[in-house]
Amino acid sequence: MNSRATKLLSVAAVAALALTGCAGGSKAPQGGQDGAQADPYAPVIVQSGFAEKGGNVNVLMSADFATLDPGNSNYVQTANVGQLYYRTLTMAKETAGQPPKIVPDLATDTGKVSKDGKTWTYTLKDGLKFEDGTPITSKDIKYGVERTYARDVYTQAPQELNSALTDDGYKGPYSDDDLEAIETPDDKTIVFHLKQPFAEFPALVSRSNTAPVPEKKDTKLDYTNHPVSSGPYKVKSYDRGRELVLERNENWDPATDPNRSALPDTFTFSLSSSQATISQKLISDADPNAITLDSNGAMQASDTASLNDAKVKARTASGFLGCIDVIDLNTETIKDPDVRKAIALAMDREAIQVQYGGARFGQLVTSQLTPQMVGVTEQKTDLSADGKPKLEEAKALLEGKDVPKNLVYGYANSTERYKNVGTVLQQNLKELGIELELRPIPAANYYSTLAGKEMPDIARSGWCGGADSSSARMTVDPNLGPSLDGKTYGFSNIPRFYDKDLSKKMYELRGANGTPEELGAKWSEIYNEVMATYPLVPTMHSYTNSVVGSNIRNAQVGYFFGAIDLSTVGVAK
Amino acid sequence: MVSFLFRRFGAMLLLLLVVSFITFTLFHFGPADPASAACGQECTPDRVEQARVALGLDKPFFVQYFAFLSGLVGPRMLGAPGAEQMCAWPCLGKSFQTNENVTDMIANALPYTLSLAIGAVLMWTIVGVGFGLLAAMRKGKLTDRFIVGASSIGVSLPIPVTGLVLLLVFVGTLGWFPFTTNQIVSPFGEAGFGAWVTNYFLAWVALAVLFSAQYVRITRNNMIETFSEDFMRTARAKGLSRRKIVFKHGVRAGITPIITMLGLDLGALLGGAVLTEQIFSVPGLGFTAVKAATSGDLPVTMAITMLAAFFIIFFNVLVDIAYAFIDPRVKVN
Amino acid sequence: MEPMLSVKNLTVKFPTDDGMVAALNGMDLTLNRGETVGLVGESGSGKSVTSQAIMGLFKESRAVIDGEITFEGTDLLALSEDAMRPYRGKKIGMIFQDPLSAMHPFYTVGAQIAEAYQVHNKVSKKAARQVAIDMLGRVGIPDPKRRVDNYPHEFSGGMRQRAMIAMALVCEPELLIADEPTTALDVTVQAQILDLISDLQAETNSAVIFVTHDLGVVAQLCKRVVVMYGGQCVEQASVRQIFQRPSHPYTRGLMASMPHLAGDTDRLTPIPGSPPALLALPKGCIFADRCEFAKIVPDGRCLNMRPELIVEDDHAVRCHGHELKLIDETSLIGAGS
Repeated sequence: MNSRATKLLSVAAVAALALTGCAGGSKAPQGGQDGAQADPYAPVIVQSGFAEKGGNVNVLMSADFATLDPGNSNYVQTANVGQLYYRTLTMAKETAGQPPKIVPDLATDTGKVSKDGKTWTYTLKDGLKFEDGTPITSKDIKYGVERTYARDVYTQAPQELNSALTDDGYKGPYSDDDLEAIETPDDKTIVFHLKQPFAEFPALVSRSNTAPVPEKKDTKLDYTNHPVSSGPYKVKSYDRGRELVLERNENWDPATDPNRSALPDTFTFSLSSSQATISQKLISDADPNAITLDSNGAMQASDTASLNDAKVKARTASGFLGCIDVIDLNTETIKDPDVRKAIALAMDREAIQVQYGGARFGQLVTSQLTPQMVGVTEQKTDLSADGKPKLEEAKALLEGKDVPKNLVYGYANSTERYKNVGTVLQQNLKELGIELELRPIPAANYYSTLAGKEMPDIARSGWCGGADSSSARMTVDPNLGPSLDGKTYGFSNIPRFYDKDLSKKMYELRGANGTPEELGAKWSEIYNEVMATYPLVPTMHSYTNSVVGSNIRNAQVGYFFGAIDLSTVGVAK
Repeated sequence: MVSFLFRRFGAMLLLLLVVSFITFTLFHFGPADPASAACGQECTPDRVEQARVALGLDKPFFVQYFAFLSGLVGPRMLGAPGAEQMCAWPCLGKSFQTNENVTDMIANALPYTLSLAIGAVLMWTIVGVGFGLLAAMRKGKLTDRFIVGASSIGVSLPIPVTGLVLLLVFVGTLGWFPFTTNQIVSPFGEAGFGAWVTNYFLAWVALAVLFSAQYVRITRNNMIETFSEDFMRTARAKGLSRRKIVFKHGVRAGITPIITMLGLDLGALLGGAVLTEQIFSVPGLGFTAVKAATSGDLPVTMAITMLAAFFIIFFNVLVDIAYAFIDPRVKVN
Repeated sequence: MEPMLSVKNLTVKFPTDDGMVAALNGMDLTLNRGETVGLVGESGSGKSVTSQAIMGLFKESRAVIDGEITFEGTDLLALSEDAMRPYRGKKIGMIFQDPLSAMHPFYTVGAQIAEAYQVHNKVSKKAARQVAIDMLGRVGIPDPKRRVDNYPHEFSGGMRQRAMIAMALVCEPELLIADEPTTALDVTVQAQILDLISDLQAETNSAVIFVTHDLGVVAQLCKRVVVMYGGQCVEQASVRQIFQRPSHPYTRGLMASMPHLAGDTDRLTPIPGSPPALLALPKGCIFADRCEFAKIVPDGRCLNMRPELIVEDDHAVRCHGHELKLIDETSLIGAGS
């Protein structure tokens, strides 16, 4: 027991070692090929324009997929591989460096909305078949959505779509009858009834809830072992924890699917490669057909030097992700906005960036709203763009104030990096006369701790844009918005921000009708006002480098997936 | 002998029961909440409660514990109403994270750990005992000092360092060894014995560097002590060859503490070599245990802890039995 | 006639952390074929070192050895470890003090005797086992057929020593070195073992070096006695000469400390003082600081000059006082009072 415990501890220590090894400094990555003026964060696609079919892609992963069941998955990795074996009504189509574009997939368009904005209707394309040749009907899609209501069976079932629909009390197909919020007047038509208008609804039906599941083939929790394919590939073999092989699904008709190029004949997923093995293998090009789905392309800060090597750089796909990290300030324990602002200004965000591995692993930002979002207006903040602390200004703010003497920073105990961020904050706050205690939180329930009574004064969190990373609302509302009834702060509102006027404005804006541009502008204006009280401090916009084997073509880093987009990748023979 | 075995294995079962109870208790009352871990980041409090029900964690502690124990004696039903799953004997539950049958996970992971352990133990025993013996025979001479020095370096090199260096140099840069693949589990598989050896060789070396050092030390000290025994003088006075003196008389007498250590180390290693498996991508018990422990996967962690405890206790008994064979003065009763 | 064994001016020094310890400082010893010599002295006097040096047991150790050991015309000191092997066990057998620790605990008594035989005789395992059984019978072990498969710990102390003797004599060596073979045994068993050794010696006609601190044992077994002190031979003579006319003050002290010679068990007289510190030997007589005659020898000779071994009528003595005839037999009483 004891030695096991120390062994586990030392695993964490190793991770720390790898991360703190030698950070890449603050030199930004060199993205574009346009010379000196190039934007260092411009996306890079490796060997684009390739269209040859055939070959096998080896996907190296440090762990098995938690699940392949579209009805039980909240994971981006599953969503990425899911593109290969399931299709949804609409699809979030990845373009490197951009939020995914919502395009029709099983449906003929992105949906027809009723005048009141509360009914969305979709029509299925012709010629859609499952891997066994049976046609895909609207009932299969409805059944797929119904499964995601069985939350006592599927603990990871995605819920964004469900919470927008009318039928809140539904318990799923195993213990309940029929989901009334969805109608299937015929095999080609599916109608959704919403509680209130939802401009981003086409994005909600791009989530895996709408992947068709044939009721007769529903093996419940064992469905993950062989999900019935509606996409270009199907499961050939799946050895849990070791290897997954996908092969072509002959019943998939490319004429119905302009979104997936489906170039390789097979995908072989190796599910137990350590990160060290993956990064070594990719950097040394030991397997020219290899890619990885691990976060950060399985690269550690210590690999920065290799990433700068010209040969490796030519094989490195890179681009922004939708993810932005912030430092949350608990507005219930640090009530005074000026004190929060002082803390925000005293932070050395540049030093925090170093803890993440340097500029190669992300760009310093002053807002959670990215220029890639639709309708976003200019954001004003006093945070320095270069991340350097503004100590004098911070101290001036605190004059004559009742400043807390002791604060607590909580961090997930499995990640040394976040502890190191705490150390940076500790030093920064000392300048303001505040003692910061660093408190570890079990990684497995980090976020539920932040949502519960144990929320510390300061914590780190990340947000990857939600169901639609092009929508400002999908970032602002969950992070800073009110609860469902509008009377308190929302569930994933970690800073517990609640302001009578501003929260009410957000509550009302939720049900508003309008074009995405109009709504985007309104949400970003509110965000600007909320941010003037500093409930959170944006730090890093994640940027991922993913090295691929020399035979790999069309490799782009997905903004949502955070890894190589499997639907477009190809391999040269 | 039979009654001895009977009693020892009886005691072993009892001990395992205690270990299972302690592990279960630690998890149950520990800070990590498997339900919220299974639910993820965007999980509301009522969804955590639903997950708790789905995983059976809403039931009282003893009900959960006896449900777990019942799986050890017969089949067991798992899962939420409407989606029950039968879990065949011996049932260790299903993973909270992946819903895999834990018994299958263990059965799949064990051969990797076995491959790793067997090779590593052989390697470090040969190297460690060999050099320890050599050092003892050359006590105080240059060879001895060199071996003792090298082993004190070896013992202070942590696995992550040796492992990563070996990987970087012999796989990444020189390409003398292939990257470890999870497709080779057995020396008798399709790939053949040679492929099995090359697949695990560097991992063995990483473990052997660390463990050999301890074996050098214990062998050297023991053999030096043994060499000064009166019966060693007798052996020389008989006119025996050096080989017979050292091996037949010396090693036979000095081997017992080494056997003890070997038994304990092998027992511990079979529970999973956490760091080595991590670095060399060997999906054995240690690899599985780390993933399970960090994600609050109770059934998997329980099972591996129990198995590790079993191996340690089992090898303790084995060492005792081995003693009876080595040393006629030891009576098993 | 050339003696079978002659040890001349043998010095053995062991390096220690504090410096060189001189265990033997010019030891002399001769032994004829079939002869039994007693090697007597306190512990630390160099008796065991002498016997082990003859056996070559200091080869390949850090001990520094000088002098000469000639056995049947061969210089044993010049032999390598391997070249020494045919002598060990085959020509020179050795019995050790504590048979429990001197026998391997993990092998049967029979196997250990058979092994000793097989090293020097090309015979089958079975034949060697039979030899072991016979040998056990010869040394008086009852039911040897059964006992041959016992382990040393299953034997009593006396039986173990018998087995040890069997092991030493199984190749019928020309010389047997018995290093305090009875010390670890109780008195009744001691006598049996002594009888056994003397019987076997009569049978095989081998020479025996009998190492002991007990003059009484010597009187019973030996013809000749070598008295050792501080790594030297201080007196050598026939048993009769030694007992009738002990000439070295140390020998006299030994005699005085023997209960049955003094005839008064209540008044044992130990030799005052303690054995010499072998790390820093005095430049004079090694016994000088314990010797009551050192004061009466003129010129402080005992303190400044190492005495020579002077031989007279086959009686060798290393003592200035004796050399100057300052000590007579009557002084024995004085020494013992």
